[in-house]
Amino acid sequence: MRDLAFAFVWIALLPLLLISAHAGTLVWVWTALLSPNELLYGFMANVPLNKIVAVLTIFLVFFGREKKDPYFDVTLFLLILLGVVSTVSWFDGIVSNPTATDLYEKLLKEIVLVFVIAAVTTTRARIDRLVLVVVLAIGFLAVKEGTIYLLTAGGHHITGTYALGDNNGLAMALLMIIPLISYLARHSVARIVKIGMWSVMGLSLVTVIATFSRGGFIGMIVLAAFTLKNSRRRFRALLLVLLAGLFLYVLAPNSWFSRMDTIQSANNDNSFMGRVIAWKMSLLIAMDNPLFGGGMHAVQNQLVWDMYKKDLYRVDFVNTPPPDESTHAAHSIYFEVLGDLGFVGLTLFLAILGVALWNCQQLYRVSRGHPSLAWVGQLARMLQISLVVYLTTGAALSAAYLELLYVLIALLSRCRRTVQLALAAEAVNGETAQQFGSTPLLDGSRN
Amino acid sequence: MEVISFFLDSIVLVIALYLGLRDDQRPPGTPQKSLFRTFDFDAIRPNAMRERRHRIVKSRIR
Repeated sequence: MRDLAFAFVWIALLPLLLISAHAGTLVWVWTALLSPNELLYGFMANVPLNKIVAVLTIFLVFFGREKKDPYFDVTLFLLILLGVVSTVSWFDGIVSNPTATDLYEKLLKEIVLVFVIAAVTTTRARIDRLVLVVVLAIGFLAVKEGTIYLLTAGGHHITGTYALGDNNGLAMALLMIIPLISYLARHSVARIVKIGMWSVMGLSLVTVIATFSRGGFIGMIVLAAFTLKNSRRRFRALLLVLLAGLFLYVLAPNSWFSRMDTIQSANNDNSFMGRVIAWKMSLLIAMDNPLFGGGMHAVQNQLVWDMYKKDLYRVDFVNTPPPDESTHAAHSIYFEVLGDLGFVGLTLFLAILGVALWNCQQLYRVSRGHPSLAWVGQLARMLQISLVVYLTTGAALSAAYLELLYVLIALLSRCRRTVQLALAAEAVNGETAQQFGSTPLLDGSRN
Repeated sequence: MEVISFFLDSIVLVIALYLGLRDDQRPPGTPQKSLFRTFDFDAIRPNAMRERRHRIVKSRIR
């Protein structure tokens, strides 16, 4: 039944996918973040929706008649370098198996997606639409899981999704979209959309609690702190944070508080010490393969694990118990990239994140002097919070190749380009613009 | 619950994309009509730039 319903949805989308690269990009993002195949069990389950959309969209980017604005900037340059490093690592790494190849292809696809988003998201309306689609894709999980959790009075166990990872990954993704939901809730014109956005935000918080993720809890604290820091109306933001805290206190069961209490005794926690061992293993792999690492998820390869578990004494920055026989995931975006792509890959990864944060700061600064760009300043602030949540929560999660991160990076790069074009247009028509108190970029950015 | 929310999510996506495409094709200068359009404060506050400049000048005088 659901396959049939989704097939009709797909038929409705098809005309759009055949004429608009922008629509194709949005559906590409939606399928990448939501992974609809996971929710289907019939004849649609094995249809490679994401790949079909990606191929159609790339074709339209090159041959479609829709307006595009291809450009090149530091973010895109660094992403190409990251693609090159991952290719060398894939060829030359100590691990060569289908999982490594899948991850390598995933990263390359994400890099291509960034280029496509940058080329076709040419206006403010399109940027806002992309934000909406990100919220639709991940917010769906918040609505579904949060509602079930509330209806079962806390009896629902959340396991996560293929696209976002386990419960910790889901919590992180939800916390990352909360600032974007806030942006849409504040900027949407239609009241029904505003109400919908606030509801999704509430259910996102419920779902984060329902994941029982300790990383999610730390992410919530970071989110609250940065919301207060970035808010112009501090008192209102403080009230909102206090309300969310009260909501948490009332809603969360005792078992949730007990779970969060274990953060204080991390040194005695097997789960945490298992992560530290995986970090050490990743560091060892990088020390022996400093330039390009050991290949995608080398640390999760049994042979590699067995090879390095005897060498743990080489990195004794924290005392850890003897490693398990079975492998562990890297459990940190930083150590994940370090083990997979070496010090060169990690440097590029950090540089990409650094440039994204720098873009946030620049966009906010520029928007302060240009009221017609206020929207981009607010969006940049929200994206900055999302990135900080990612950097903090991701410290204990394997999520370096998360699609959502690359979509946000693309958004920031595109926002910067849009602002540059707008300022150039303003410089040309500056006098006229000042006379009328508004700027021509207002119309240009919304077309 | 999963089926309902999944179907609704997909329908909202389809509506947002069609309305967005219609808005993209409108003549320049005409307002957007999409349900999901976002608000532009400056569209209703054309004097925002002037107001801001006044505030800056006032603060410098102080």
